[in-house]
Amino acid sequence: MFENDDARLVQKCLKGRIQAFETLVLRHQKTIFNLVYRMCNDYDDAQDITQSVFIKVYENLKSYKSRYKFYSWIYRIAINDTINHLMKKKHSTGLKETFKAINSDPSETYNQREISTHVQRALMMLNSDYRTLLVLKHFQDCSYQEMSQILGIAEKTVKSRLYMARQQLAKILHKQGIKTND
Amino acid sequence: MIDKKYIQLIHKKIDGEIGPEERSNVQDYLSQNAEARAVFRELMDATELMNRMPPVEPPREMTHRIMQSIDPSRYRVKVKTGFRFSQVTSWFLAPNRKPAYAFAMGLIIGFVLYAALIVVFFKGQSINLTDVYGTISNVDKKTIETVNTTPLNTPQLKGQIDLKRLEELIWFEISLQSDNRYDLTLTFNEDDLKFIAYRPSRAAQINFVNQQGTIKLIASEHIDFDLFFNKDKDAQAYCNLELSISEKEVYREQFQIKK
Repeated sequence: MFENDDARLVQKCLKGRIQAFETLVLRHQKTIFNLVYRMCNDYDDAQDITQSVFIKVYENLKSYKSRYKFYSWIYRIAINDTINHLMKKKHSTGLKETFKAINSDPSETYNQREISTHVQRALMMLNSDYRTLLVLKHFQDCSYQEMSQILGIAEKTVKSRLYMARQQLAKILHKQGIKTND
Repeated sequence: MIDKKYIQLIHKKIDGEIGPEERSNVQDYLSQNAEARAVFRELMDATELMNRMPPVEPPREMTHRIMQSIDPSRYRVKVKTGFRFSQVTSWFLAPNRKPAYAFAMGLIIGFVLYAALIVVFFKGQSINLTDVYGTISNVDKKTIETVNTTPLNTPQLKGQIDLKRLEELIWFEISLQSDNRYDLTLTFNEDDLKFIAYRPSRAAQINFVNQQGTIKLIASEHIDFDLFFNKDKDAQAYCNLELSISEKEVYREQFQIKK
């Protein structure tokens, strides 16, 4: 239902009704913010990038084709802008070198907040392509078909790359002794 | 070493997209392969950890910040406030105006052609033979040629005979005065000259007859009249005029009207 509604809101925006765009922002800003944050692991950068994403969306509304899903379009913009930002900022792979297991004893547990921090850091150790796939699948709850549309690659390719991304992340987390308590 | 096929199935199992047969298949494999079980455990942990991570809340002012940074007038519909030049130009520049332009161009061309035809056609048709006096009155007097002027000054008959021409319109302006009755006979070739009209401006008593290339007129006292002819444009025409009193010729002349 939201998909048709998004397209209608875009049309209202193009007719000068700014409130329609505000509705789109309210509807998608948290999702976009989370996507960007998980990609860049910086709260301030995530704010800036989210803002620029919506500005870009607003300025390019005329180029939006209603036959495509709105969120696919905005996700694509967010992912590209985040990757461009990271390339400019040149997030070092030094994280990989400086990262140490908080607790090398695999039997000890971590509180959830610490675990989230470590998992996020582990995500940042992956290349941007693998990170994007994991964020879309596990944080944005996208299906393989949706991911294929967003990224513009075949579904089969999405699956094989996601499997590789999971395995890499799993290895990193295992090395750091990060696991579920179950 | 883990069979690549089972790695795929392990991931499908993690995604919950595995069928019953495949589930049974991979369960059997995991029960027999410790390495596969370890990989499966690691993948499950990683997936579970990611799935448990709560969403991050954006700052409260995020929406406001975004709305403040865009131009609200970008897509604003322009309100029409009366007639503007831009409205006129946009009308003319609209792509669907081509039929209107084609029609207007057709009208202009048609008008130009009509005007040209009027000039060409009526250049040689400035004479209205049904209204020769009107024609003569309206034309520039300089265009009227006086072919011949013959004053008459005989003891019995006085007057003047003028032969005039406007293109193919030929006319005699005759003024005669006598104390006696006199006869005027004008003969001409009907193939070259066609009689149009007799216009008396002063006539006491006139007996006028027009018959097959001969005009006879009997009058007395002072008469003024005009005789109009239409000359064939390719012909050189002749008129013979004779004036007589009591059957006695007092004046004769042949008038030549060139092509």
